Amino acid sequence: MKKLTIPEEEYMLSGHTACLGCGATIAMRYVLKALGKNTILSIPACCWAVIPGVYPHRNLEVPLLYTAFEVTGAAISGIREALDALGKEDVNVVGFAGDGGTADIGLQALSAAAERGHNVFYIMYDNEAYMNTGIQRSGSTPMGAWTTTTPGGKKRMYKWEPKKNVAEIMVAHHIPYVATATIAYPEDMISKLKRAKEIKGPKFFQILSPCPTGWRYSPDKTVEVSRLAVQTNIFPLYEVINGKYKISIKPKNPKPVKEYLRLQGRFRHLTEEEIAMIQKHVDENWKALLKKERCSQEEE
Amino acid sequence: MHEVLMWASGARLPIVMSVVNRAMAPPWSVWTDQLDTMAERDSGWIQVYTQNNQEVLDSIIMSYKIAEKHNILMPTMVIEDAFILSHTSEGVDVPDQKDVDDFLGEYNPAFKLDPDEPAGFGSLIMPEGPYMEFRYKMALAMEEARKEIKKVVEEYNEKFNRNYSPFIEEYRTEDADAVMVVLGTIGSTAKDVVDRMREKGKKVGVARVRYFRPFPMDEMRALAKKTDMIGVVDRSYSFGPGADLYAETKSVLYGHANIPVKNYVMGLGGRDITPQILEKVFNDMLTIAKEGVVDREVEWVGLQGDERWS
Repeated sequence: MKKLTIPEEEYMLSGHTACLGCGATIAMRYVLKALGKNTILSIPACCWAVIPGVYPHRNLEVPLLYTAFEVTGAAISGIREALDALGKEDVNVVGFAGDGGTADIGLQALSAAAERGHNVFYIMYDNEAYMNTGIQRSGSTPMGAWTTTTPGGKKRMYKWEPKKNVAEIMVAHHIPYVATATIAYPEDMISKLKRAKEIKGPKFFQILSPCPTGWRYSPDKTVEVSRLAVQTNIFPLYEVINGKYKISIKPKNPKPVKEYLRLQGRFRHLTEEEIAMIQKHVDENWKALLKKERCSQEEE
Repeated sequence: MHEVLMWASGARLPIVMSVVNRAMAPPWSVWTDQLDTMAERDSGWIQVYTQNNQEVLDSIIMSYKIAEKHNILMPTMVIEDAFILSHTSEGVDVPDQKDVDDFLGEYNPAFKLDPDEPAGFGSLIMPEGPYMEFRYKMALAMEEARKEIKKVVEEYNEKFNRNYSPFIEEYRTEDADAVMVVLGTIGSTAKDVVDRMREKGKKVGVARVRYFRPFPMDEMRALAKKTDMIGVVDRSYSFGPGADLYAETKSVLYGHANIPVKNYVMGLGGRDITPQILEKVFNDMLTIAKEGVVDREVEWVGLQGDERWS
């Protein structure tokens, strides 16, 4: 395999307003490096609605349309169709939304855009809760996590429901490209984005973007947390091209999920039994993913 | 829909949207009721209420021309009463494409998403930033729209051989003792009733408001100078001092005309507004005009079991 280097061009400038150690900011930087200048962004309500800066400042060197929480899918559909009508088919149209705006509030518009087959990128930067508004639980918050709306207490009211699997929801739409990525593996992320750029139709990315503020870890640990998510198999990296699964990284000896959980304050209340339950869940999901890869490749 | 309407007007996008005015649930209703759009009167959209399918078609063409002017840039709702217009068919005169193209000219967007000139639209703004100035500019544009509407409607009338009044279509109001102010399809029924009542020597007239946003202030004040009484028919209700058309009519007359004004709330959820019931309303209006006293400011007309109007 050819060694891939990270493009030098910067389309995200310094001076943003994100928290120290923000994973979502790193995700945006790599996405723009991969897609380049000829890109139009649309961002709904989410951390990234604030991160570019306060009017009239903006730290992004590409056009940007801010929209309401629920409409990213509709907004990028419209931008795409307008560009095509003008014959500007070479411009990348990118929806860049958080997990709340994707898994919950914007799911309907995303589903509709995917089903209609617009030639767009939809990037869900997944920090696993409504972080911008103060760490409220989203459908993408993982099992066992503390958030301000799953505050625990004597009744242990944490988020016990499984994390909604948005990547799989998108696979079920039979779109040509679905991938997961995370910021500790920039070359993987960039090569996926470049591959997707050559594919016409809806392209969906779920980028795990650790959040020190909401996950309760020290800001210098963002890359480490991101890497552990992959090495413990709690967030596997894979892509699905025209229905065919390909796992990007298969850890030879997966680390216990406990290593990932124990780094983060949002999981610090978990008992050994609860960690075992999460481990079981992670193992089952990993096995299912291996099966999907095998089955979809065998069909050839 | 409410939230995204604000995003469209705040972004100054000259969208033209045809709106079928349906009653709000629950209970389910697919029939006409103007609350659908009245509830959006503050959303920053120009609102034009239509009377027949020809006016729907013509208003859509005119609205593009008005909305896309760079001194306006306000989205526009072309509003038609549900079922009565949306689910019935009616012959319309469709102008030639070339004539319409000539009339509208090229679309020249004021703002563009362009990678060669990257700009951001709709970003976060602090209280000391120009949020308030952006709103003020919208208010100025809505005022400016009055001039543009008048100009465009006159130009359209001339080019396509139509006869629209820009803001209020007045019918036999010149010497009227009482004038009924209405929106939408009620206008045509009311005009028919006026003819019948005129034959009996009853001096009544109709004023059909076309543009509710911007609200025709000067035209309404001029109307009030011609008559002794105004009855406002609303096919919606606002839980304030009466329904919207009434409240705004009364508000613009304050300090300008000292005549009785009464609100008739009727036809909600598509309940039929018949010539018979409108004649009763006109007679009630004439009594008020004669006596100079409003018996009650807001009256619901045609409620089940209410013998006064049956």
